[in-house]
Amino acid sequence: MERDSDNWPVLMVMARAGDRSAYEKLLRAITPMIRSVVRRFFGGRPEVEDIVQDVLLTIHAVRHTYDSSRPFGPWITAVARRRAIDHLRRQGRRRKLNDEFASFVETVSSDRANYSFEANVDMDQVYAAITKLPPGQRQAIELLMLRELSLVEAAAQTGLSITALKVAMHRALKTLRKHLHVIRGLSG
Amino acid sequence: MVSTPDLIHSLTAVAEPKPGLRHPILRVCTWLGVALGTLVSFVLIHGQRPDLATKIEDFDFAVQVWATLFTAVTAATAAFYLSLPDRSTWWAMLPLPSTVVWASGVSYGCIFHWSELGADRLTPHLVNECLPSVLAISVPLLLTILFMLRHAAPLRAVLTISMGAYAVAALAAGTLTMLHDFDTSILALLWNFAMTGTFVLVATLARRGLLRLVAHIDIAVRG
Repeated sequence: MERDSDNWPVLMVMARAGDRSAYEKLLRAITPMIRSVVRRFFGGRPEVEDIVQDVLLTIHAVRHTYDSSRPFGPWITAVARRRAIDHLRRQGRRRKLNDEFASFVETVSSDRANYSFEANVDMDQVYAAITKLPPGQRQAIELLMLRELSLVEAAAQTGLSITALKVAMHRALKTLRKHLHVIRGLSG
Repeated sequence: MVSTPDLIHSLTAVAEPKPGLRHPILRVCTWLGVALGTLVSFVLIHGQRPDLATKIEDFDFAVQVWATLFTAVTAATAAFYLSLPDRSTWWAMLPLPSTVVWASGVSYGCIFHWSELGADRLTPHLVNECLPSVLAISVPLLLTILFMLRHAAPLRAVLTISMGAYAVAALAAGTLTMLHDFDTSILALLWNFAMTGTFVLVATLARRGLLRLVAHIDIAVRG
C-alpha cells in the first residue's frame, strides 16, 4: 500500500518546478513530521511551534539542496534536527547569561541560605503574629506589605508622616521577626 | 505570532521555481576551474620560480606539492558535501590523510631550514614577498567558494566554511611553493597554518553572518 510520504519527493520536484499547490500540499504534509522531530528536543515546551515555523522557513530557503535521487525523509529530518540544535544552543547561551543569580542561592552550602520561607513557616502563624502587633505597627504592615501601597499613598490614607510610617514598619518587622523566631524555636 | 497554516500559505504564495543544485562533484569541478584560472593568471603575471623544472624531479618536493593540491581538492569536496543537509559529517575527515603527508613534509623542511638560515633572515621574505601573493590568490577564491556555499548558512555553517577556507589555504600554499623558492621552509609552514587558522577563526566568529552576507549580496545582485 502506498503511504502519503511516498509522494513527498514527487511533490518536492513539482514544487521546485513552480507548482504552488504541490508545494502547499507538501508543506502541510511534512509539518507533523517536523513537529515530532522538534518535540524530541523540546518536549511540550511552548516554543515548539516557533521552531517548527523556523524549520519551514529554512526548508523554503534551501529546497534546492534536496537531491531528488535520494530519499526525502533523511533530508527533511536533517534540516529539522539542525535547526532544533541551533535553537537549543542559542537557548543554552541565553540561560548561561541570565541564570547566574537565580542559581546562586542554591550554590551556598549554608542551611540558612537554602531556607525556603514558604516551605517552613506556617502562614497562619504569620497572620496571627500580625494581629498581635500594636495598632500603629499592624496598620503599617497591612498598608505597605499586604495591600502593597507606596509610602506616599499610605501616608495620605492614614494622615501619618512618611517617617512615622517607616519607623512603624521597621518596628513591626523587628517584632514579627522576634515573634516568629520564638515560634520556630519552640517547634524545633 | 503568525499561525503555521498561515505561514505555509505565505511561503507558497511567494514560491518561485527553484531548480536543484548540481551534483557536488560537478560543483567542486566548477570551483577548481575558477581556481585554476586564477592560479594560471597569477603565474603568468608573477612568473614561476626559476628552479621549478629541477625541483619537480625531487621526490620530497613533488610529494609535498601533490599532497598540498590533493588536500585542496579533498577539502573542497568535503565542503560541498557538508553544505548539503543530509550528507554525513564524516565528509570532514576526507582531507585528513593528505593533510598528514603535507604537514609532515612541511614540518621536516621547516626544522631543516630554520637551523640552516635562522629566523632573522627569513622574516623579511615572509612579509614582503609571501603576503601579497597569498592575498592575491586567496581572496578571490575564498569569495567564490563562499558564494557557492551560501545555502549552508542555516544548516552547517561553521564546518562548511572552515572546509572551504582550508581548501583555499591549501591551494594558496601549493601555488606559493611553486612560485617562491622557500619550499618546505618556515615560511610555508607559517603561512599554511596562519591562513588556515585565520579562516577557521573568522568562520567560527562570524558563523552564519558571513554566509548570510553573501546570500544578501546574491539577492541584491539578482534583484
